[in-house]
Order: sequence, then structure tokens, then C-alpha cells
Amino acid sequence: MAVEPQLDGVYVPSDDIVAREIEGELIIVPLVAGVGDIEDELYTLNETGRAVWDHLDGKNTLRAVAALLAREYDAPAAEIEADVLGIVGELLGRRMLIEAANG
Amino acid sequence: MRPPTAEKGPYTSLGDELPLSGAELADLMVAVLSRGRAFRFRAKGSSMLPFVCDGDVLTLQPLGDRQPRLGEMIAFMHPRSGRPTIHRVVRRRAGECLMRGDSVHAVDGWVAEANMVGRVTAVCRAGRQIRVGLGAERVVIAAISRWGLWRYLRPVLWWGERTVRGGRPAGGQATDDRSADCGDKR
Repeated sequence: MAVEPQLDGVYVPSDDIVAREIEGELIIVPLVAGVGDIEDELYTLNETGRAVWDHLDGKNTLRAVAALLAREYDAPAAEIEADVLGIVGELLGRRMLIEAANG
Repeated sequence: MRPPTAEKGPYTSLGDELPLSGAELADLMVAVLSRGRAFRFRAKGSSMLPFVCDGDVLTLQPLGDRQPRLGEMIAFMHPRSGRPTIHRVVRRRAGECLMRGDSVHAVDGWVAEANMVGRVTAVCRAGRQIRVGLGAERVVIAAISRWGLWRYLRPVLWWGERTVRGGRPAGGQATDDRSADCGDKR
């Protein structure tokens, strides 16, 4: 079942991943079925995914994240919001993010 | 400036070709095992021939409360190089183990259990699980490894392996009951 992210939701990296920055690239190892499998399940985020990931601090709503990025890149907030929802939806689908308990 | 979000999904990709240095691999290994999870990765090198070959996919489990046992293959930080290494316990004493690769000339030295991060619980080679060396026979293997004899026994093992392979039925099903399907996802 697809999980739809909400603009007023707060999302944080799941406890079921290990994320490390290696040579400027963020790599994510999901701990699927109790295994951190870097042979078959090692992911990297593209630049867009990384820009959003870096703002998911457990405090900012997605609307706030989009506003920050819109200011940072001088882009229309509505366009950025749509992209942020797309990115977070994909990361939720891969169980790399969860909704913050107090979000 | 072009906003990064002008890039459309998918935003994640499999990092198949991402080369990891020894330190980076060790960091990931420790991070995963310290969460009490298993760690699966592709081994490099030939120091554990004939039981682990270059390219075999190994599964490590956290050591947990159980101390490393004689003959187990253990991941540890090498006392001299500081690099993550997987070799065999060939002797034990309180709080530390003497480690040695099955096909190398010298022992690694005594390694404190505090510098050990996990034990090998599965070896997968070309889609087949290799069980030799993970059961009770590991004690005998350790005794042979302690004296550095695997180098001399390798031709015998090579002949034995060819004999077993030659005995497979036409369908290619292994007759060796020490191997089984790994269930690789690829």
C-alpha cells in the first residue's frame, strides 16, 4: 500500500536503515528482514533526494522544507512542494523514512 | 541557479558500482552489526582459500554474548593494518584469539575480542550456499590452518572439488549436500 506524504507531516530517517556519507555521496543501507545487505540493497540518493534528505531533521514539516529549498534555489514554492512530496513518497515507499511521532 | 528539485524521480538508485574502501566498508559493517543486524557483502581476496573465494558473498552476524569459538571465521580490525579482515580463530585464550587466514603464511597475531565485529554464518558462491567450514568441522580446519597446511592441501581439495562437480547429474544439480541454494535476489 502506497503511503502518501502530507505537507504538514514531519518525517525522519527510519531506524531500519544505516546512512553514511562516502566521498560526498549519501549511501543508504536498508536493514531489510534483519540484514544490512550491501551486495543487493545499497542505495544512493541523487542531488534532489539529497537536498531534501538534509532538511529532514524531525522538526521541519515538508511545507517548511519546501519553503527553505524554494528560498535556497529561488524557485516557485508550489513546484518545490510537489517535488518534495514526490521524493518523500518514494523514500516512504522504500521504508527509508517514517513519520515523526510528534509530527 | 537551477533548483535541484527540477530533477525528477526516481530519486534513489542502487549503488551497485559504488567502490568502498576498507575503512568505509568497516564503518558500514560496524554500523549494521552494532544494531544487532546481519551484514551481507562481497568478499575480496584469497587469504581464506579454499573456504572463501574472491567474490563470494558472506553474511556476518553480530557476535552477541557468544564468544568467538575455535575455527569460526571472524571479522575483526587487523592489529597491524587496522583494516577489516575475515580470518579464522586458530587458538583461543582469555579475551583474545589467535587469527590466521587459511592460505596465508603468517598468523595475524592475537586479536582482542573487543576488536572483533562479527562471525561468518553463510558463504554464498555463484548462487549456492557453501557450508563446509561453518559446522563442527571448523575445529579440524582450525587445527590444520594453525599449522599453515591448507596451502599444501589445496591441490587435493581442488581434485576433490573437480571430482564432485564431475559427479553432478545432467541437470547440474549438485550432489554435494554441503551446498544449497542461496536464494540470491539477483
